[in-house]
Amino acid sequence: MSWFPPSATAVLALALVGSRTVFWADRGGASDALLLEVVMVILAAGAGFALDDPAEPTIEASPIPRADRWSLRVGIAALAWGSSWVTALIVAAHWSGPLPVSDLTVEAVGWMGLALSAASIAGGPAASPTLLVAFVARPLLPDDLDLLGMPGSPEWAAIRLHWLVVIVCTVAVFVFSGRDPARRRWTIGT
Amino acid sequence: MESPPRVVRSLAIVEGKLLLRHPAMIAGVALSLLIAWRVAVIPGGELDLRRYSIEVVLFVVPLGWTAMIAANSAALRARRHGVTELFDSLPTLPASRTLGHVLAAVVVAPVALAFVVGEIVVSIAVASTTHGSVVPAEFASAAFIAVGGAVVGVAVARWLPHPIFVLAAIAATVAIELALADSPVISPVRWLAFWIASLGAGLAEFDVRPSVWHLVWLAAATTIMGVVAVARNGMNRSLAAVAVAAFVVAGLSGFVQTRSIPHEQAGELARLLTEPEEHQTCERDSAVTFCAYPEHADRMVQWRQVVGAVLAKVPGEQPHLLVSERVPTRASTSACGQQPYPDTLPAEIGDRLEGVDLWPVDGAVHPSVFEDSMPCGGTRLDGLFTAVQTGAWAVGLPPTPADEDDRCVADGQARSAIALWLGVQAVRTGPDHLRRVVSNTPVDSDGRLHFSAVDQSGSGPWAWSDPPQWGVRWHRDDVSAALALATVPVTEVGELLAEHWAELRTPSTSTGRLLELADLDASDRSLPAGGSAGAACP
Repeated sequence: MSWFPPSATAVLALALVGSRTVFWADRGGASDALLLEVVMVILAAGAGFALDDPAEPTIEASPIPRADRWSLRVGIAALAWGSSWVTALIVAAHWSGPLPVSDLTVEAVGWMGLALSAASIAGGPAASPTLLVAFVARPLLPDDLDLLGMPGSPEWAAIRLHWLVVIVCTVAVFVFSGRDPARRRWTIGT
Repeated sequence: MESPPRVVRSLAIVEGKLLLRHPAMIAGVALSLLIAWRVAVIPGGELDLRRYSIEVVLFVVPLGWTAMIAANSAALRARRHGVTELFDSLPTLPASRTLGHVLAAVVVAPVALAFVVGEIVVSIAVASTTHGSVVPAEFASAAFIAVGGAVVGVAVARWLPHPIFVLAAIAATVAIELALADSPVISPVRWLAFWIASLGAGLAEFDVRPSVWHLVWLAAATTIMGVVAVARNGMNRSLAAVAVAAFVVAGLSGFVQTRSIPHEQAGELARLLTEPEEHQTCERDSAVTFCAYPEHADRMVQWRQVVGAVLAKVPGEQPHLLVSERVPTRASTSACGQQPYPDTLPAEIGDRLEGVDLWPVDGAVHPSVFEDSMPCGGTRLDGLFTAVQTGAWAVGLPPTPADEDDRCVADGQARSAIALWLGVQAVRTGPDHLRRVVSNTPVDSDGRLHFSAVDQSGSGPWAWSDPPQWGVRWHRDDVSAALALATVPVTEVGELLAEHWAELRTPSTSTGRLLELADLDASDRSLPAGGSAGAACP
């Protein structure tokens, strides 16, 4: 597995969180929340490359199922993602005070799920555009599907539920895409 | 040795077609359309065409980002398919391939322009009224933003050949934009950003925009990024010449854009606020004189309507009333927060207003230069703020805040409830509008509506961006009394006012007395006795 994407995104994300005190010191809570969401998206984009395997065509015929190979890759990527996320939270806590860690982590996992499900369908490079489109389109969702809000706000309970649904859906997509080609009853293309 | 120009041209044509068909581009167009449909087009609303020519460009930004991704993906195709060495062995030079990708980016321009023009046409078609005129030099920047995005995608692919870096490039563009254009201080440096919002100062004159020079700046910056992309494969004489020319043009346009507003022009603009009577157009009738800045002259129709409806319910002879437009004490920030009005102006103009009282106590009604609406450009309130100002004037309360935002208190006074009722009954669905305002406004420890942006996050329901310009800090019970009064037929309340006018407009008459006269139950209202903490209204 290439460590380059998760490392690069971790550096970028931590640079963003760290630069807040330098460039965004006079901004309020909404800007801080946006900054943390950008960090989530960047880290998720890095994790999306975990499934890219140049040897995939060669080892497709090996007896180890793709689901096992992907699970291993995602597990390793999750460790890298988790350490970057925890570091980002520690840095962010310095300028924002106590953070709703579990709520923020639910959202962060949701973004990673989106990245991995996109990557499972069309490869690691598909993760970034998918995340970007989702990030920009999020405010356009109807109120009962809202994914936009700050932890602690009155709407957050519903938003967290929506993020949990996103996580479940992305896991389903991931599992579906992770089936071995030989086990599929139908395929797209040749 | 260089590849012949026709090779580059052929590559550009092929890559251009591929770029337009790239899934990221299609997603970008769809996303921009979706945003425009959900956010921009307001059927039946008023449309300021000058302002809209600026704002419509913002909807192209997602297209610019996805163009960046698509162009990056195209430029990394050989690497992704593992044919880099094969390409190196072909007669076409890598620099020519890169130039082909850079030139292919131009195909994004017509897409962006078609989008903004279509958006403007649709918005004009669905708007009830339009003001001003479309400014092509403003919306044309959409083309440069989209093409620039694609060229940056190619440059990033050449220098940092991994798809993850395109995300960093997008983050960098956002950071540059925020750092330059979203500063709390209105500085000329903001013109070095990609897109510059119109100033939220309420009057178009203050928004001094070097639009054409900004287009030149964007074109030069895009060319520089193209040179950076091609230079990855080495510099030659013609590329160096293009680079020098682009840097010279960028330097020149950057310098011209970031010049301060000339001394005389800043002084003239400041006089719009210090001597409004010299710059406003007025209409006078027997009872009222209406004055507005020329660009808002059509608002006088609404003022005439609501002020007339208020005065029609006021018993007895009234002195001549002046209704003149004035800037508010506080106005919206770009993030829908609240700031002192002078901070919304370019620094050169703001400096000239230091120590000047823009809000003298003159007893006149002063509609704001911003339309009466809920925070952050929310629901229009059909002149409710102006109507309540007029009601306050009619009962002898200060219509507008004084100094920087001084508002007096008149808790539990019948005239407070009457002022609010006069305003509410003058506006279509007035009670609903007032309820909407109250539900969005926190109440302080004394029970008065407080229009500050108390939610420090700026995202809560209580963040008033353009607070009502009322001279009184209304008590919530007086508001409730006015709403209760609004349930009584207007003619009955009118008769009641006519009969007891002298008594009811006296500060010592309580709201309870008013409700008693109107046969309304005051027992469940904890009406204040009046005169609690805060500067009492005269």
